[in-house]
Amino acid sequence: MSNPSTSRFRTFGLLAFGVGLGSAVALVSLIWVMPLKIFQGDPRIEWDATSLSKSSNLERDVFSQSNIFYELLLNSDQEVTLELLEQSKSIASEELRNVAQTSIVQRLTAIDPIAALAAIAELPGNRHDALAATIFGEWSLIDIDGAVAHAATLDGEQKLASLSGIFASREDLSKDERDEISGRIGLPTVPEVESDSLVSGFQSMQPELRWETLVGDDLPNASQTAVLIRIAHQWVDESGFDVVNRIGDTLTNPIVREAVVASVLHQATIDDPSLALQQSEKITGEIRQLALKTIAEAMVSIDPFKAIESLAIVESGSTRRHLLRHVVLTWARSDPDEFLNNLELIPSNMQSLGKQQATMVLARVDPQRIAPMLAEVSDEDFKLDLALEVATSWSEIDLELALEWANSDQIEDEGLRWWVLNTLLSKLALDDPNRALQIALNQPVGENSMGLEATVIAQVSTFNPDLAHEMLAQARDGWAKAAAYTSVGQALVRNNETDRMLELATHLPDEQLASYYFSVFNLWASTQPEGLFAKMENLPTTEAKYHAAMELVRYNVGKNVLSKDQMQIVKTFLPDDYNPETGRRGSERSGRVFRVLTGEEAEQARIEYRRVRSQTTWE
Amino acid sequence: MKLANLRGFNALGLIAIGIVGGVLVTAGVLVGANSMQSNEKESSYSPPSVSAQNSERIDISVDSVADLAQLQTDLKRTAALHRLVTAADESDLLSMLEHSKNIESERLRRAVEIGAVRKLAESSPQLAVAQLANLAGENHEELVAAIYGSWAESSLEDAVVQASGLDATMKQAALRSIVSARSDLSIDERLAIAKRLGGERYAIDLSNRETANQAIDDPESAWNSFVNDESSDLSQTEHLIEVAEIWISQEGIRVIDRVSESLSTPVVRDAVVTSVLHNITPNDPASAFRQALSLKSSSRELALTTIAEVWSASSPAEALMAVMAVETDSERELLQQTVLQTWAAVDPNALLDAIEQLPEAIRVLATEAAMFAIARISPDQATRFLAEVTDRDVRDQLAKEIAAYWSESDVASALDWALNDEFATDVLQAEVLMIVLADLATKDPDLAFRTARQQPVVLRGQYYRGLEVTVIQHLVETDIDKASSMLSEIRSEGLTIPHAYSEVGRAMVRNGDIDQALKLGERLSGRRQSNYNGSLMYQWALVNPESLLESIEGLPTDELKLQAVRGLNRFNPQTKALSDEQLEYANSFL
Repeated sequence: MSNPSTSRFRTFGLLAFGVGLGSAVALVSLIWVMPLKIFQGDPRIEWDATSLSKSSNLERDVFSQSNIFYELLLNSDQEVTLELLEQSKSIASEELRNVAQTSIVQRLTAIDPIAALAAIAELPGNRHDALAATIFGEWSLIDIDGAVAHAATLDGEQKLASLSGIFASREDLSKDERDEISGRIGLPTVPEVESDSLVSGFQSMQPELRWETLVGDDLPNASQTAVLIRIAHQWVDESGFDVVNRIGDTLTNPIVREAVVASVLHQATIDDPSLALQQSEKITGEIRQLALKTIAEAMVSIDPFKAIESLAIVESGSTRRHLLRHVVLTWARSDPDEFLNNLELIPSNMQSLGKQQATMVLARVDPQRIAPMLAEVSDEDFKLDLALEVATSWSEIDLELALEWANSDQIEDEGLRWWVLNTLLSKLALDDPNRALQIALNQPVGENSMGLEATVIAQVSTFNPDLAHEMLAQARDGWAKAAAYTSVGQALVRNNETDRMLELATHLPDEQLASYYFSVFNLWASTQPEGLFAKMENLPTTEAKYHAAMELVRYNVGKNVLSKDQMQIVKTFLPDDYNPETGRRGSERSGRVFRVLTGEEAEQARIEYRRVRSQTTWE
Repeated sequence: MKLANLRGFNALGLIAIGIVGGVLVTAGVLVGANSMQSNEKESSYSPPSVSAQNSERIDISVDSVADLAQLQTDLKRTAALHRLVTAADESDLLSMLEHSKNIESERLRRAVEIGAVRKLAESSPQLAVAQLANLAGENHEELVAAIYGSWAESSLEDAVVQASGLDATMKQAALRSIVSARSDLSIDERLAIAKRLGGERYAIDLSNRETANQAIDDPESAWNSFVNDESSDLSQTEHLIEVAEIWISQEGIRVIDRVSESLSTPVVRDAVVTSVLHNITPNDPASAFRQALSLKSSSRELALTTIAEVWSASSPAEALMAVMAVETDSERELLQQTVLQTWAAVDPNALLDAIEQLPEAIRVLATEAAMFAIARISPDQATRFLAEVTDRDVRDQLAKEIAAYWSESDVASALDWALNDEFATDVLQAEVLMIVLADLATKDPDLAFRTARQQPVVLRGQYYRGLEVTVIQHLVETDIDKASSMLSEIRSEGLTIPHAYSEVGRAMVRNGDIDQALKLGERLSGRRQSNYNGSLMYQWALVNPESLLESIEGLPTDELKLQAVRGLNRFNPQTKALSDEQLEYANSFL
């Protein structure tokens, strides 16, 4: 006879054994048969995107790898899909990378198309539009109304991309349905959307359609320069030079216009220089000179010799001449030695221009070599320009040697020597102002009282007004003294030392005072008008008050820094013969430009003009 | 014994019950736990019919290509197609191609064809090529690309050799696919292939794209690759823009200095700087502006003005406050101008409304900017300002701006305003009329001429002439015959006759009609004819000095020759058209 408690215990034990065995069986079965997440860990371990690219250990077979990829992809959630997209950036092969990314964004679209659109923004810009088209293509297969509604919220090019994607995917749509969708999405710059052209897909879309959409949308063209350049290239490749004028006319931002036109023409010339030359005639309007310059530069970059020869095929004399000019200048600048060695190949009317350009370039890089050639230059204007270029460049390389040259017999013309020393002493004054002053004082003043000490003192005043002030005592009478005092006076104004500036005026002769006051009060009025107003009453002389008042009136127009009441007070200090039309006294013509100059002043103005002109850059 | 057997069966039964129970409970717990662990995000968008749940495996099994259309999405069709193709042997693939002809969807048919020929080309490229003849020709480029890309994977040289025998279009398709498929090759190797197949440009473009793609990980290296290679910056502008944008997004505006200093072509440099800043500034314009103030390169000014412009388009008041704090006077003034001009262009009325809140020093500038912007957008509305403006120069400029823009949009209304409105002076009215008539001349030349002829001659100096000269001056660009016919009706007052004749004559010279131009001058006499001929010769010397040099000997009078020589001497420093010897020859006619 069995014991009941023993029997229960036995029953329970057998059941427990069965449950345990059953659990173990279930556990093992589920691990092997179904990849459960709780056991799976990271599914990415099973597949690596980079394995799609070529590996020496793997068979180069896209398809054998792709099945695994698609299997994973189709069953991935958003997180994994985004990770796959991130990994896909590392795929070396462009083709495989594009295929992978296309599929990944399609999967992402099925999960969350908005997230898909956000995700592609992290990819290179040249993929955005094509992938946007892919997203909308896939979206339209799932929910066309949702896709269309969202496409309507986008801007220009994205809108076009979305439309293209939808039409390419939904071949089942009739023409009327496509037109209806186009209207709902809205492409306002294209009166009648050529929906048929969009069916063949984004990559096949007519560049003209993309162009019109892009330039007509609400985004500034400057923010779309890269894609405009890409479309323009495609457009010109397909339609030729005829569209270059269209491109130029539709871009209003000059920086964008120049970049797009130059990029397109540069490439077109590299591809086929002869065709570019022949077609250059078609380019008109504002972009014409840029176009000819770009074509010429591209031709020189390929082969300058061929560039010169091939110009003969250009029919129009004017166009041929412009192109030749650009070819000559480009060649001379890019390889001046080669250019000079082949000068005989250049038509005689352009030789001088090219030679000058090449020489200037060489003067910048090797001034010591060019310096002795100055004596051979017959064109006086060019000689001055070249001398200044040599001086400027040489002073950067070896100032001592340059100074030696400036004082040597190589420079025969004293006027030229003055200009060269003017440049060199400006530089020397920064490092050794006292020595610069001594050298300047050792030079003759010359016919027009232009002592070089004025240059030195002007330079010193920019960084050490006190030293410059001390140097004034050595300035020789005449223009040098006047110019030196003015430089120091202006420096004192900038340093708020206006009392010292006013004191300086007492050392100048009357005939130089007006010019001094004009310069210092002009600066004072423009930089510290309130400060000048506050001191009006206490200016030491009537002449000073006159000039202060005139400059405050001139400066305040349009700026209203001083109040009306203040200006009323200022006007009480104006001279009786003040002419409001000219802003000057009496019969003086307005502004310093039109004042009647004495002969000496006229000569000095001409010299100053040439000095400033020499600092302008060549085209 | 029976009892022992009964006990044995009971034991087994209990164990069996236990096993079943254990399996059910364990499975239930595990599947339940797995579902809970699913971390599928709540989608912000719920597509109507596609499951996004990981636990539900998506089934893409199809038996044949004919069944692909049953799958809803492109991804599923692609995946299913890949599965079919992978499992297919040569015979299956050929069969697939045959069946593809019956696929209604063109998109799907193309996908099937491409997949099949690509797979076929892995083992039998020649067979794959042979299939092209049997397939419709619309997507042959894609098929060729698929075949040669696949072929290049297994036998590069064979693929290149065969591709070189294709026609130009197919050769390019093959080339693209070959160089794209063989990303393991160096750029030089790919360029060499491209040269053999006549498509060097594509290989270079591909290399550029690859370099640009690397920018996300290392923009500086990508940038250096571009600027240090042998290609011109102009041929890589779009890639430079893309790389610069990534670089600056990652490392800040200070990178602009590096970008600027490494680009020697001004056109490219400016395009890169402005494009990048247009895209980056909206993210945080205040920060962009602050950072740009530290720039030192030659692009500093462009960068600051671009940022100011972009900022002003969305938050002009904030932008203005920021630029007012700029220390350097000239820079501050430039940026103020930029902000005000942009503000005015975007919303001039809002700017006018805000005038009183602006610092006094810039109120005048701001008002002018707004007025001129309104003159461009709504010129008819802008006329109300003319009575309010006290500065004469500004008033006159504004009137002319209104005239120019109004004429473009509505020349009839502009003309009505120019003729009938009250202007401060008759000189201003005449100048405004000149602008309107210039536009009307090409739109309605008869009306323009009639109107011009009715106006008194008000202007002096070089404009001491009837306004009909203005009409003729602009009409010659589009209808020289019509302009010429008007000459018989012009007035004789002031410089009307000499100027009108000169405009027509010079236009004829520009068109190459020298004889006609000279004949026209025969209607004039004495000094007028002489001056007229002089203007012709000067125009000729400017636009076509080479032909003038050739024609100089045949000119009918010594005076003409003299004028021609003077013209050539006058303009040759500018045109550089003639050599010293040629000028010497010309001067021999003096």
